Formats: sequence, structure tokens, C-alpha cells
Amino acid sequence: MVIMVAATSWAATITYTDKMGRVVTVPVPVKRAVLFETYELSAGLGVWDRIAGISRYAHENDLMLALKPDIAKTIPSAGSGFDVNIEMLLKLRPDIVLTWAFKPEPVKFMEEKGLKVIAVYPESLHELYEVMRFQGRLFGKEKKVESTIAQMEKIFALISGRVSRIPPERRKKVIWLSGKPTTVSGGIGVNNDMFSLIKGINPASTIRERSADVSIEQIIAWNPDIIFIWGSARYGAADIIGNPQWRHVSAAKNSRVYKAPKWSTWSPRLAIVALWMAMKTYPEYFVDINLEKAADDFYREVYGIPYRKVERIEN
Amino acid sequence: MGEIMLEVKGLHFRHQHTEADVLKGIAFGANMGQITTILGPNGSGKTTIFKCMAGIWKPQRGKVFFDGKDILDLSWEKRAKILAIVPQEHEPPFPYTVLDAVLMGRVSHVGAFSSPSKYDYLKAEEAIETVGIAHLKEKAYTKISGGERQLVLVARALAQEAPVMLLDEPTSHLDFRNQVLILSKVREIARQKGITVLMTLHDPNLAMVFSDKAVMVNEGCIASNGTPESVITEDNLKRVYGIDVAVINWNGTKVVCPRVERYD
Amino acid sequence: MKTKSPIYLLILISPFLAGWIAIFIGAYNVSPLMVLKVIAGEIAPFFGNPDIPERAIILDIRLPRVILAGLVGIALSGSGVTLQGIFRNPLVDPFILGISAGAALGCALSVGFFPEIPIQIMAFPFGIVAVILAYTIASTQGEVSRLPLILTGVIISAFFTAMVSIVKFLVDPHKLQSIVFWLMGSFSLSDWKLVKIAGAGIIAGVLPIFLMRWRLNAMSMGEDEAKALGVNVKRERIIFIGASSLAVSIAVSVSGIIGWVGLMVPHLVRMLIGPDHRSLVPLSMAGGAAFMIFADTIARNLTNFDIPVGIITAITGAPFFVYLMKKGGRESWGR
Repeated sequence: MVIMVAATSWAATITYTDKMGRVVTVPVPVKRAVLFETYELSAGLGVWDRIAGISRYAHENDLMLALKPDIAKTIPSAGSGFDVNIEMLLKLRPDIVLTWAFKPEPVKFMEEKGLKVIAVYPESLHELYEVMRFQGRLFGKEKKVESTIAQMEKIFALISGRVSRIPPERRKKVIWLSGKPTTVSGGIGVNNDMFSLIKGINPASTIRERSADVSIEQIIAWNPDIIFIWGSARYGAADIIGNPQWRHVSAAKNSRVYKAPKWSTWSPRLAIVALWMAMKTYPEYFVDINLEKAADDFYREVYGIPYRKVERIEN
Repeated sequence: MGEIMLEVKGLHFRHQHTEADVLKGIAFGANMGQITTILGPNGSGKTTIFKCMAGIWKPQRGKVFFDGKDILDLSWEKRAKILAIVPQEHEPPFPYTVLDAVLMGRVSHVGAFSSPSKYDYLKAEEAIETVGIAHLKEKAYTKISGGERQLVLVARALAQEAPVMLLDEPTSHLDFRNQVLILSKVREIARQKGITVLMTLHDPNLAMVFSDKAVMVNEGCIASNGTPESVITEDNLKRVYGIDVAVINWNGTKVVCPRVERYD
Repeated sequence: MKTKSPIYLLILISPFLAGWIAIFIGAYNVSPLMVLKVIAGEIAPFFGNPDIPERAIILDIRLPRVILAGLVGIALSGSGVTLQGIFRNPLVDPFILGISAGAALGCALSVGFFPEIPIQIMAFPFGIVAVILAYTIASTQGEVSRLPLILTGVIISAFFTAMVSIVKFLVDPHKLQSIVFWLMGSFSLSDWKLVKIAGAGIIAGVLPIFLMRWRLNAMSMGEDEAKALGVNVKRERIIFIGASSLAVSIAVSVSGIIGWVGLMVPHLVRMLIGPDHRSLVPLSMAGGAAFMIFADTIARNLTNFDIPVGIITAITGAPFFVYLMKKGGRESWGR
């Protein structure tokens, strides 16, 4: 994915190759963006006046509501990445539509209607930074994006510093469960990147997929030490720990099963989730760190609000 | 002559949402051990009488008495213990063996949550013997001839152990040989087992040969009722079928022959 | 039951055979000797049954899953053979008639909007509604002929599936995952609790069918003839359809929509042993259980993914069905 800046006589444009390989040229700075995805990334940029439309899920998102309580009234929704309301969308006259590459059909559809569409699907931390920088370019907020990334890197550096001291034989096996207790995150994707970052071993990384349905036997065979559960899953840690089918899994035996916060991982908030995961996996190496304070500092720096204004991490 | 066992009284029927009665007061009787034939052209109401008696259609008025009970008023199970039906043509859905097909006649004797007992099997086998198709017992009844299949249906009705048997045009899909065979067998069964047989036929000659009693139906009314000789007459046939016939005496019996212009 | 040939016995024990083999196969490597040890330890504690992981694998993961698959197979085949007999139509099964889709809608509504109500309770009424709709729409003057019934079933099924999609759309996307589960069919989350629920519901549905199975012979002769033989067609049809729907709805509520089983297995068994429902019903059920266990064993062991079993039944079912129709299809339904 390449970002090129070309200056013309009146306006700058940038050319971007998105996740679907489509090359799109956008005049910048953007005045009317519609964000079906990655809205959490733009939340801290202070560009509410340039967001013409947003995903309907953003209207229920804790961070968005904390930053802009009247969001449902001021920024209309034209559907979501799953389901686009094309008429509403056209009414909003966007310069650019940011959506995800998971559903290619709506992308083509919108393109045919003459809209500029960028489809993203960051599958690693590196790709996430790229999308963030691209947003910076779109809105002319490159500086703010860099400072956000710096904040994230600060936290990652903290984590790395601690976990690099851990000898290989003492590293823990970690897995991430999503919709069903038997759906695990594989070797590709942001979750796996986080595991690498915190020096956790993901036994499911042999599966070269973002997500895979496996049999519960497989999970028992992997015998993870720590289990993280997707924040929006319908089940919780108690369903695993008390479950006789899981009783021989190390994580369940030792009650080291944790449910993540309902935050998107396509967001700067990823840094805090990573810190939380690191602290849960290797608590001995983070005794002096206060997660609440670290989170509070982060939120204030990046978003200008205290941590208590958003949905907190359980336990 | 047996006393009258089956009495049809005052049967009136019309289809829903229609004005005209299809049956306008049908009444007749049938005797035990005898074959009573219902004759009449298409649309005369033969099939309607049949369906009303079987309980498939509900007549607006009328009763069918057997042994003092109105069978139109009975539950399906009780009615099946009195009245057994041999249908005309039959589209077999699955290739049941002859034995299994005949065994179905025992439904009214087997409880809903049970399966047939040894006794039921015995009755079925007896019926098969009586009808003379024992050699076909294990064959799929879809793989036998039309005539043999009709016999299977007769055996099934027999297995039902019902004192009344209703046959709806038992000969219409059969060849000449089988027509005679079936009707002979039915008469044999009627005599031997004392069954009251009611049969609809379209062929006046077969009716003449095989009936003990005849009922001619026309436009929903009884046109004539009595012995075959008295009912199947040149006048009646002309009136009801609109065809000129000659009824000829031969060898102690009568033969019906259509009077048609020779075409040379 | 007439045990004419060894085929009968073979089909009858096939589920136990399939189940026995399935216990030995799984992602977690358990040696055959260890499997036997664990089982022996359960039956006669004298052998010693320490709570090692293998014990959890065999007794709490594989065994309930195999049993659940068997129960669902019984429900689907038993329902299939019943519907085929009642509608005199070898091309119907609960999936085609829309019962499965109806039940799935009940489940989706329960998951999406009424989480307080146990899904089984919502699944059943919707399953019944689907089949009543299909039947009512397809009948003219009280008789349903073959093609209209299949077509109507397909339409009803499509309709209810669309409704599930609507629920998916309206509901919190985080609950979405679970709803997709209903549409694909899977035994991945089987446990003893589900076995108990399924056991109770499916046996309750299948028992009346089993007891009344001989009457299906008469019912398959057509409504008029069945009445003439003494069958209270209206009442018995309600019992048969109600019981089938109950069994299928419970099955769908524990494992999602699984198609083709109710169509294929009765067909195959009918080809092997003939159409007499006295044997056909129990043997279809046994065959269904065996097939389901077999398909699920493949689903969870073919790759390191746990493939939804509905995919396996569709992949084997559709071509098999075509083969059946081409080859001796006409024979097995007597025309």
C-alpha cells in the first residue's frame, strides 16, 4: 500500500492503494468523510465537522459517545460496513467513504454510484499505523496522528521492555476466543500481533487464518495457560472456568480466563488492551504498573478525556 | 333370500356452494350374501352414492342403516368394521408386498399405538388364500398385473372382516378375462362368507350375469330397482343411457346387445 | 418386527458401531488402549478412574457429542420417513418442508430478542407454523399433491430463512455470531446438558411415531383409502406431524439446521429393506443416527477446523440424491 502526495495547482491529492488493491485518488484535506469503519481512529483527531456520516454502530460506541454525546443527532448514519444505505449515503455527498474489505460487494456498488471508496482491513499493527497515517493525511492532521502513534509506541515499548526479559521457557501459551468458545484467533491478524508483542505463544498460530472454528479437543490439546475472550462474546470467563469440559485446560484450572473490554482493536485503544493482556499474562513483571493510571494518561493524551468516561476493563 | 341387511334411506347430496342436488333422495336395500349392483351412466350419481356411504362426502340428508345402526354416524374405525371398500384404481406410492398390502385391511382391528398381531397376520393370510393369490404373497404389489392387483384389494377388504363390501367399478381397468375372474371371485366370496356386496358397474351385461339385485340410477334418482331382469330392460336402457338395445334371451339368461345400424 | 435378513440387524446396530469408532477419533490424541481404560474405569471403578485429561476428552467431550449427533440423526430421519409416508412423497423431509427453517427462526428470535425464554420453547411453535403453512398453502380441496407440496416447502423455507436474516440484521451484531450458528448446523458445542434436553425432547417426539408406525402404511395409501380402512386421518396426521415437528425443532435448537439426512437415509433404508413402515421407521432412525455420527466424525477430524456438519451432509447428500434418482429411483417408490 503506497501513499503518494502529488501537488497540483489548486489542491493536493493523495493516491492510495487499498486492501482490495484498488487505487484511489482523493483530494485533501477531505471535507465530507463517511466512516463505516475506523471511526475510533478519527475520534481523537478533532475533525467532527468533517465527518458527514458514520456507521450506525458508532452511535452506540462508548468512546464515541464519551467524546461526542450528541453524535446520534449531529452525525447521521448511512448504515454500516455490513449494510450500506446507498440513498442516505448519496444524500450526504461524501468526498470519501471509508469502509472495510470484508464485504467487497458494497464497495463495488458504491464505486459504481460514483463514490470514492477506500476499503481497509488492517491485519497487523503495522497496517493499523498505515491506516492511521492515511487518515492523518486525509484530514490534514498528520501531527496529531503521529503523536497518537507515539503514545501507543510508548506503551508498546513499556511492554516490550518488560517481556523481553522473560526467558523462552517461561513464556506462556495464550489464546483468544471470539464468538463461540471454539472460535480461536489464528496466526494472522491484530490479535496474533498483540500476542507476539507481549511475548505470548499462540498455539493456534499454526492456522494461517484470522479466525478458525476448532474442536474443543484441539484447544485441550494446546492447553493454553491464559485465555482471553472477545469483549462482545455472549459468554464470559465463568462459563469456561466452571465448565467440566474445560477442566483440564491449564487456563481454566488456574482461573486465568479474562474477558477483554468491548473496545475495537482497530483503534489506538489497542495499546491499552495490549498492556492489560501483558499484565494478565505476566503479572510478576508488571507489579509496579497501575493499569488505571496508564489508561487514564493515555486517554487524556490521545482523546482529551479521563479513562472513567468510557467502558472500563472488567476486573 | 336373505333379509335386507343394508338400507339406504333418503340420501340427498349437493356440493358446497352449489344449488342443484346431485342425489335427490336415493333409497334402496341390499341383502346379505348377495351382490347388489348400481348401474347408471356417468354423472348419474353412482360415484356420489359410493362416496357418501364411505364417509368421504357428507350428505345433507339421509341415513345408511346396517343392523340397526346408521353407519354415517359412526367413527372412522367403527365404520371400517362394518364397511370395507375396494377402490377402483390405485396409485401405489411404495412397493409393499402383497401380504403387507392385505394386512392393511386389519387397521380397524389394531389400536393406533400398536402393530398387527399373529392373529391379524392369520386373517390376512386367510384372505389371500380365499382370493387365490397365495403364490403372490411376497411379491411387490406394484409388480403384478392390474387384475392381480385388484384381487389384492379385494383380499384386503376381506381381511377387514367387514360384513359389507363396496366395490367401485372393479372392472373398469381390467381386460375381459380379468373382469370375469374378479366378478366370479367376488360372487364366490359373497356366498361363502355371507357378505353384503354392493358394486357399481357400467357394463349392463356383466351386471346381468353377476348381480342378484340391480339398482339403476339416473340424474340423482333411482330409475329402477329389483331383479336384474326387471331392471335391465330395453326401455330402461333407452331411457337412461339414450341407446337403443335389444335384450335377448339366451340359454336361460338375458344378453344386452346395442342396436346399431350396420354400416355397409 | 420381521427380521428376515441380516441387513436388518446390521442397520439396527450401525449407530452403536459408528459411535464406538467415533469415540476413538479426535484432535486430542488418545491411544485406543487409553480409551478402553477410561471406559472400563467408568463402568467398573475397580479399574481405577483417575481424572486425567483423557477422561474429560472421552467422557465429557466425545461421548456427549456422539450421543447428541445420534439423537439428532434419529430426529431427522424419523421425521423424514414420517413425512414421506404421510404426504406419499419420497422427496420430502423436514428441511425441504421448512420445519427446520421455522425452528431456526424461533431460535434466532429467542437468541436475539427474548433471551429469557429457552430456545427450545420458541423453536417448536415456529417449526409447527412452518409446516402448517406449507401444508395449507399446498392443498386444494384437502389433498396435497406432490409437486405443489415440495415447491411450497421450498418457498416457506426460503421465507423463514429470510426472516432469520432480518433478525440478524436488527440484532446487536455481537449476538450475530450465534445466529449464524443456527443456519449452518454444528455439534461443536455439545455437552451433557444439551444431551439431556435433546434426549427428552427428541424421544418425546419420536416415541408416538414409533408406536404408530404401522399406520403409516395405511396413511401412505392416500387420505380416502386410509379413511376407508378405518384411520382417523385428521387426528393421526396431527399427531404424526406434531411429533415430527417437535423432534426436528429440538434437534435444530441444539445443533442448528442440518439438511438432507431426513431425505437420504429413509430412501436408502427403503431401498435396502422395503417400504413396510414397521421396520422402515426404526431402521431409518438407526440409520440416521449412524449417518449423523459418521458425518460429524468427518466434520471434526477431516481438517484441523471443526467444519459445520451441515456442510458434510450437503456435500454427500446432494450428489447421492441425484445418483438415486437416476439409478433405481423409480423402483424405490413403486412406479
